[in-house]
Amino acid sequence: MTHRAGAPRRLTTGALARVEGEGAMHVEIRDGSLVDVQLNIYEPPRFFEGFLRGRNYTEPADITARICGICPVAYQMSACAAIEDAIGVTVDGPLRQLRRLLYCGEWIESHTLHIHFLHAPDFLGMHSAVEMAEANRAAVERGLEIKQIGNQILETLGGRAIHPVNVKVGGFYRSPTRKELGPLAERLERGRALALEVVDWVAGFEFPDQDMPYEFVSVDHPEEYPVLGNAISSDRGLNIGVAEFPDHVAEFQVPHSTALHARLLERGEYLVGPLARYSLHSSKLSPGAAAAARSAGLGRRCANPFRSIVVRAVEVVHAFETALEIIDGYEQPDRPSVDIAPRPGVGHGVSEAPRGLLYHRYELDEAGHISDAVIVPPTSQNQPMIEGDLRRFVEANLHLADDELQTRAEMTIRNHDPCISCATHFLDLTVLRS
Amino acid sequence: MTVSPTRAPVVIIGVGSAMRRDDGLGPAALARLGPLEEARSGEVELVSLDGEPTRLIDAWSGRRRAVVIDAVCADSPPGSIHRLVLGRHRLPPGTRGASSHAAGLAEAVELGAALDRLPDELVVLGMEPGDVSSGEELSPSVAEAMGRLVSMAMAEACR
Repeated sequence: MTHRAGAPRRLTTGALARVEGEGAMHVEIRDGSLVDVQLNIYEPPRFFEGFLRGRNYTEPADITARICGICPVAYQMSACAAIEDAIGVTVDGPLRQLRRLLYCGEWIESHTLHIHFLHAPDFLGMHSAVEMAEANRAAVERGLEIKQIGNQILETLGGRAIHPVNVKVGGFYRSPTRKELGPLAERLERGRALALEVVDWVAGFEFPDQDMPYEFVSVDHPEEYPVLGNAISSDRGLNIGVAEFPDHVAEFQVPHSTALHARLLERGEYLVGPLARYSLHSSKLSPGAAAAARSAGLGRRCANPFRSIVVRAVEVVHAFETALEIIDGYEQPDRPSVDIAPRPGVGHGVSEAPRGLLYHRYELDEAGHISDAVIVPPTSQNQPMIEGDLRRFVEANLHLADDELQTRAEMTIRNHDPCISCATHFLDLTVLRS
Repeated sequence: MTVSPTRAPVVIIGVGSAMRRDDGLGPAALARLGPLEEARSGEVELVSLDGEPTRLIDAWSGRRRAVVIDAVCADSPPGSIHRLVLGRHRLPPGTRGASSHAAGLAEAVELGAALDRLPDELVVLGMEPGDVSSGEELSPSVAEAMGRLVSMAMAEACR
């Protein structure tokens, strides 16, 4: 519900519904030249870091899930990984596989929401999913069905689709039987077929030829397309363990945003998310997803932000196939979680939220209480690069009328599916020309 | 839309974030509704949502009646309650932007109408928030009006 103060020439989109959260964009043009571009994000993790201090080590999985209704699993997984690191326990085997399975549900849900309801209208010259539903009802119905299947994973494993309640440090409160996963597998087969249709659909959109100079950063796992892991790498030489993240990434405050920005100390701006995962690890995609990527015309890497919609569609196929593979090999573990005994220490955890690398760090005291918490969400890491995209776009298109500039600038933002992650959904755009 | 035989015929949906004070008045109302007999018996289902349109559509699809409780900005004193009846109709002109989750609720109603996925009757009970900053406690005006909101919601559900 927050709106930014006006100025002489002001264009405002009262509710830019097709981003997740609350924010504003400010573009200032003086004497025909771009002076300033700011993406303002009002973001809650800063509040949550303070809120977590003094809490028990068992609580972040539930508390941080509240940061975002779209990606609660990501917050739960990174929180658990960091606390388990601090305590010195490893969660592997079927419990780790169940965590990956839960994460598949979140990727399916989040990506499908963005593809069908937030991003596709941009490519079809439409203003909203409502307009798209009137013109192509089948596509929207398909999106809803895929999203419901993603929901079903979260409900089966997490207890409910929003803010799952079955996740805990060390594993789960309850693990499913093989029999319970059977009906889910049937739905996932259907979802995989629908997801392949979506890749074909979005690959047919028209994309500007616009490769960008990104440094891609993602979680790194030797065998798996990145979701869970203990290493981080980039395509320009970053190759670190998760505990080294604070040594290489600096968070900094800018006056126009409550979200901290982030940059690599060595080189500056970088990008996390689907383009980064795909460009660094496309060789680890599931077979059907890899084939879909090839038939969609994606190469081994993709630095065109407009094509991120195709990469997300490919990742949805990968999530379905990964989920099916996990269920196929699943044996219910003897216990739903490993034993945990708190001890003082510092722990770091990362995982790949739908929008990219999500880092947590916790410091525990002897009683297992949190004395310090740091959360670095993907959108905050991407914010400088999104502003860079906007700057490059506006500089190249100063001749456009304000309304066209506004529409295309919004598209530039939506390419990155920013999750501004608060409850209210406003993005005001201000263009100042003098 | 056909009423589903497998779902409770009536749902009360609380929209908002409990971490943004009065923005969470929807979930706060659900917490008070939970112990009531109609909710415990399963006659009325309670669903807490963040306002994302497709989740709203999922929650009210196949229902006879849905009551949505949300924070609504209408330049009235905090704690004021606004009632909007929508069943089978889109939001009237000028409504877009009134709710703190306007894009979500307005788009959900429009999308639901386009896809024939609205309940037979849809009632929005909106309360004017006083404070939507980070935090868990409701502002005094909203907290004081919560009892009336809960009574209205259950009366709507059981009409």
